[in-house]
Amino acid sequence: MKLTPQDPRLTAYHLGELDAEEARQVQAAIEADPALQSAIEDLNSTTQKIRSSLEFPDRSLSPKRVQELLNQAQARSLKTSAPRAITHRLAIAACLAAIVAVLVYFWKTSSSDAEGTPTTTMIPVEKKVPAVLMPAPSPLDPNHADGRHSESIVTLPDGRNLPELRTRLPWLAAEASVIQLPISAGRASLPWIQQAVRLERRWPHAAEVRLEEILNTFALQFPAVVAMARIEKPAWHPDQRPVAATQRAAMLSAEMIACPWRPSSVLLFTKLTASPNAACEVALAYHPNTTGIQHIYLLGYDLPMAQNAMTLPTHVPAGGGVVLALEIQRTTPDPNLGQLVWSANGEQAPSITLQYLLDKEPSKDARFAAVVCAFSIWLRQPTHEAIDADLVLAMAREVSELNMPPERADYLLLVQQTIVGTLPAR
Amino acid sequence: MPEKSATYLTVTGHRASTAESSRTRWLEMAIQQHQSALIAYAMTIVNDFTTAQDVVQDTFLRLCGQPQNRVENHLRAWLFKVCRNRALDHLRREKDTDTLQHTQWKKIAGHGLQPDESAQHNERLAAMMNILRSLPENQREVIILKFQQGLSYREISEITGLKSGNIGFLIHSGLKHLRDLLPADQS
Repeated sequence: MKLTPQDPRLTAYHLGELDAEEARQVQAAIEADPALQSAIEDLNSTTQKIRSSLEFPDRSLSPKRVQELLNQAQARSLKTSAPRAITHRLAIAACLAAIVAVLVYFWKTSSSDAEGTPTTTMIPVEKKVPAVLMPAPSPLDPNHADGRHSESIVTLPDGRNLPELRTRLPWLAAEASVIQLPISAGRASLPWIQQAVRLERRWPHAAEVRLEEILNTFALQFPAVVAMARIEKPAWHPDQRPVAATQRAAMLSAEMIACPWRPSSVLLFTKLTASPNAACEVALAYHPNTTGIQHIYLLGYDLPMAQNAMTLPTHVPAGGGVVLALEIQRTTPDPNLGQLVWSANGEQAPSITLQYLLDKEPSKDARFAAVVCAFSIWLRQPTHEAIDADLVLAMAREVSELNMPPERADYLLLVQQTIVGTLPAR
Repeated sequence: MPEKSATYLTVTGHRASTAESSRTRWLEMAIQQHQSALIAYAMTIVNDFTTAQDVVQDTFLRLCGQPQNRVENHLRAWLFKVCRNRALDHLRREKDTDTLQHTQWKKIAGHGLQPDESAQHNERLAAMMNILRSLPENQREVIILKFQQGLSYREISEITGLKSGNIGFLIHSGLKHLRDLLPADQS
């Protein structure tokens, strides 16, 4: 490229306005020509003078003006959403009526079957809390052990009535060569925490905090490493001849990032997703590299006090799946963390080799998932040896950005409200 | 999804649904992030702090009426464009007998700076504004947007309606002109 010191492309290059290819060519021309180098120095000096002269002090709107703006926004929002709110309320009322009718029908049927002895246990319910749409309980509930989620409108019961949970112990890598992983999680925990902090102004009870359920509330992607399980397409021909084609049954992806609360550890996030068209049976296991790893923590999935082990479901509904978080405590900097081995519908799927690369930039989703994990662990264990409020706040601030999805921004706000809000002393 | 029907208190104490709360939060973040830059920019046009605040408040008020998904991808440029139009409207109302080109920049040299500003900063800004007055108004405007606000050619194009190539040329020739006018010891 031939350039003169008067060429406007030189200014555009200096201001970072050229595309990569053009910038590379201009850079090469500058390196070869002392006159251009001098022109760039001139530009640098001039733009610095202009910038420093035009610098402005930090100015804000007065709090009164900001409040006026927010009030206006609120008024406009209520005005536009009123018809929708009425429709929603009518729909909720209709659903509640239908549910009550079904419950009454089943209660009457079961009463007559049991010769007049009612078998239904009523869960005590706080009457003042708002009705919210909630998924069914987590797969720890034996009635939903297949991982299917039904949705019904319920009021949030008092969290103190939830069964006590005990923190899951880590596996010792030297003793656990195969770790079976869950493939399903509920979604129920986050509304409990929102209710506790925002409506009831109290700290969430430990039993209300289920890390895996909160993590699975968000749409997270970890595309760093991906493996796909394919199965044979069902025969469509009348004589059932094989179609010699396959379809995707499920997808497994993983990402590893440095653990923010324990420098020697690596956080492994995995995401399992079934095909949107068909359910499948999945078995997922982690085979750790036993030489360089000390402990493996499956984050969340705490067990009820009375339960010693959890029966793992294998059924993943169409479009269903799970996000898991594991903390892997290393003893050496060996990047090989082992393998994720899995099968779909009994067919072995391509395994994922876990190579942790220190210099790889973590994705936004992985960093957000780490905040979710840290906050949930801290809520469950306020005296955790490595996670405190300052760390959680710092992590939340780090992932915060202007254009993040509203549900994530809302979660970060919840973190802030919990830690620096007006909750009573813990 | 549970969030759609959940209600709770926002940071400002309003009871709101998640969607409303999320919108209010978005607005709060927009105000927090852009108010200072917008006030500084409005000051370069209206040259009065209170008027600049009025203009910026009006700008954010207009943001309240916009669907979030329509503006969030180019929020900064949208805000500057509205702020510029509101500021010029204000000048038009104030001096409706003057031509726009005359009023647009005539008050730009540092009269209305606040008393709490450091004298040195005032002096430097006033001197720069005086120098900028020697440039044609469109050139002055792109230089302020580029070097005070750090906007890209694309964003400046969206705000001013000028083509990117034209903006590049205006900045290039403006810099050449300013280099000769700026005092050597100013850095």
